[in-house]
Amino acid sequence: MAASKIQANWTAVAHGSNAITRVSSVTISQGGTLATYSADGDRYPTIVVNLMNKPKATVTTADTASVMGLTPGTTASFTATHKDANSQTGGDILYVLANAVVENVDTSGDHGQFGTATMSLLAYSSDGTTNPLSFTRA
Amino acid sequence: MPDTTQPQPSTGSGSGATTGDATIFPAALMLPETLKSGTRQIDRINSVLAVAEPMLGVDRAKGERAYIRRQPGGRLFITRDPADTLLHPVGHPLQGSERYRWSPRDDGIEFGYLGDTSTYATV
Repeated sequence: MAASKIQANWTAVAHGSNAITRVSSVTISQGGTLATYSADGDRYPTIVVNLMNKPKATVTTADTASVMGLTPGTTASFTATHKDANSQTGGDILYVLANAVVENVDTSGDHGQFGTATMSLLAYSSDGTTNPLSFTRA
Repeated sequence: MPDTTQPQPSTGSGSGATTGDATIFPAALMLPETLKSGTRQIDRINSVLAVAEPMLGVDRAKGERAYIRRQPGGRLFITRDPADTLLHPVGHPLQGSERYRWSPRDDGIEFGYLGDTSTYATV
């Protein structure tokens, strides 16, 4: 069976050596932001430009202990593999967010529902120039 | 301008693939994003890796990968280590200066060779 060329489900999700299983959702964001300029009699921005990007990631898991044990400020590489929908070799995409700092972890659970925890990560660039978000074929 | 038609030896101690004692592959590539092709994301990634991984000497059988980063200006910075940076990092004695000697080619691809910064090693 050939690779489906669409992705479904996540595997090999980890923050440094801390493996995160029972993952129900991962979001990888380029973290783009826009700055707008206006002056004098302008009623609308006359310039909209991308000056700053803040790549980030969010992971939601039912393995709440694996992320609740991480304190905000903990820094490591965050890795996650988005699997090919047919689970075929050569179809998985591996994301790596270098210098991923734990921003926050929330855990929650509704009555009659499975409990989950969501961890948010924000990455910094070691040199201020290199994008900390990279990807490849797994 | 240096000859960019052939892989060039490097005295750098970085992440370039090696054969024997000499590094024969560049440690980094800068590709124009226009080189990618395909409509699906995995196709586009594969189209870049098909060019980049042989140039970097990536051996997937050994678990190696070429990691792609999108940089401003439609450029792709590609190395074998996702922790590599274009410049020396903050706190390094050479902070803010280029880590690579870049050799542009006619097809728009640039080969990056690590300079000898061993005297500034941050072990």
